[in-house]
Amino acid sequence: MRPDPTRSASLGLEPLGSIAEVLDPEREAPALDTLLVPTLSQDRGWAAVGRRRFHLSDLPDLRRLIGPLALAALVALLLGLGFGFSYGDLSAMPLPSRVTLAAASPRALARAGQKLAAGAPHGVRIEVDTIANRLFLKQGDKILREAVCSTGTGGLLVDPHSGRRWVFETPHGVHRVLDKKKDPIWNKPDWAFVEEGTPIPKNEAERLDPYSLGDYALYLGGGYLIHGTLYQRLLGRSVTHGCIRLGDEDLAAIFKATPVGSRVYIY
Amino acid sequence: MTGVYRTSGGRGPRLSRLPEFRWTAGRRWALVLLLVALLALALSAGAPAGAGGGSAVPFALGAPPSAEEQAAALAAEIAAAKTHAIYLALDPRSGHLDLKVDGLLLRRFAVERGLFGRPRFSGGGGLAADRFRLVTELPEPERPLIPIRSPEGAGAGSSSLAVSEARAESMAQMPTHYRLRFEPPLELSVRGESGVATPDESALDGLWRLRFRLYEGWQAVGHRLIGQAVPPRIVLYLAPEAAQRLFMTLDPAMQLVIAAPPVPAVAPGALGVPEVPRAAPSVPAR
Repeated sequence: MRPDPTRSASLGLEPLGSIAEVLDPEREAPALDTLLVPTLSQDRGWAAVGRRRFHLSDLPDLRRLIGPLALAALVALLLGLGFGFSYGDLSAMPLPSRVTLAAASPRALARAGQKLAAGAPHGVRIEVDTIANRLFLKQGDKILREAVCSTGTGGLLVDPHSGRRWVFETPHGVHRVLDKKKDPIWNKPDWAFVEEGTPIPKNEAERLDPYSLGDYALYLGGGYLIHGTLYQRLLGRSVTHGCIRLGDEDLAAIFKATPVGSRVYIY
Repeated sequence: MTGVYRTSGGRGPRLSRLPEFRWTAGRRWALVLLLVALLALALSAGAPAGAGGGSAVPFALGAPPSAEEQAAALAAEIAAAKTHAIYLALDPRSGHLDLKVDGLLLRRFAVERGLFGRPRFSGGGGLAADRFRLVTELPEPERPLIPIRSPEGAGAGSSSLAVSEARAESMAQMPTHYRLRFEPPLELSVRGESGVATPDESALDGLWRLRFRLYEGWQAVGHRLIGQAVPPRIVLYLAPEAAQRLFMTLDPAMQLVIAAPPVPAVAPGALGVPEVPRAAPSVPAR
């Protein structure tokens, strides 16, 4: 009897899509009659990929791989566990002790403490928290004034004509007040015109802006200033081009209290 | 007769008898060892685990630093302060990580719990140094593009505000879990999950978390194979917001000082120092 090819699939052979088909053993493999054992029906267990046919029993016996795979997994587990990390509480961490007992005498400790304190500024200093948009005027451990400020957006400006790029970030690190000015005049840089969509002036006088910086400015170098703003409603947000903007009252107080040379910590 | 037979030669396929699986003594032992190893690993996952998490002992506060530790702390901090750059100071005993400059405290990050991990068979001991330099390359933050206004367009305030909001959104997406590498070799793993309520762990969860420990072990094996030292590891559990803030304050080549407190701790409020608070344990899950 000629077996029904459609029946083959129901006998345990999964169709493999267009590249595989169940073959009729009588037509494609006449010799199979003699090769197949009685426990398998003649139309069972055969598949083909393209022109190549194979019997499922010719596939590698996966059960033979169980042992090696289990052994490999065990070795990997033991390696991972054995050569991994042993953890303990951080407070019990052995500290590096490259200091001798002699060097750790009370006098030496006091000297070291004085040395560390000597590095800190003695006068007033300014600290700017760029994440919280807060400015602190401090002396020693005391906060003399806390002010809401605005810092850089972190945005990117690209000149569509020249391709020049500017990143408006307030620079982290240690700075100093290099200069102070009342009624400062802003010498607008190129990016100000690019952002406004106006041509960059060739006449330098056209760059001067006596209004935007407010009543006072403290110069930190690199074009960064602490100054006032026309947009006081935006204080507390990161909206500037990298400068630190303050409200009028805070700016006046900071200007008055901070001498030239004071340190400015921006973080 | 059952089974499939191999034929010799011929055009047809080669049929072979499928071997029956037998429980030999070796296989039984392999299975037993495998089960024991799995059980041991599952149990150890509940112990203080590094990157894998797990329960950990809170800081043992109050242990006073020895004179040697104080001296070492001061020496390390003086060296860091001399650079006049912002640095991190980790006090393993007091449970906080400080952002400092010139010996001054700028910001304090509350560490809920901390772990110190050493690779096994590394000879023990503590850290090789008390001052480290950040070598992990920090990813460039996402920068919103600033729109170019038309000359008669809206004022500067509105466009800046839009950029600011875009910036705030990108900052909210800062990572809460990250790993920082330092030189001399030290890894600092920050996990912003303290105070975040977690459901009770089942044995399956423990096994799932175990992948970190295995990964660490394999990484250590890899380091040893290529002749590199396996760096010790510090794991800090911070509140998610604190972890994000810490990430934002990182600067390239920043220094980390491991130190004991040279002076009795002063409450941050008394110093006028803003503290990023510990998250309350009752904070709901993210």
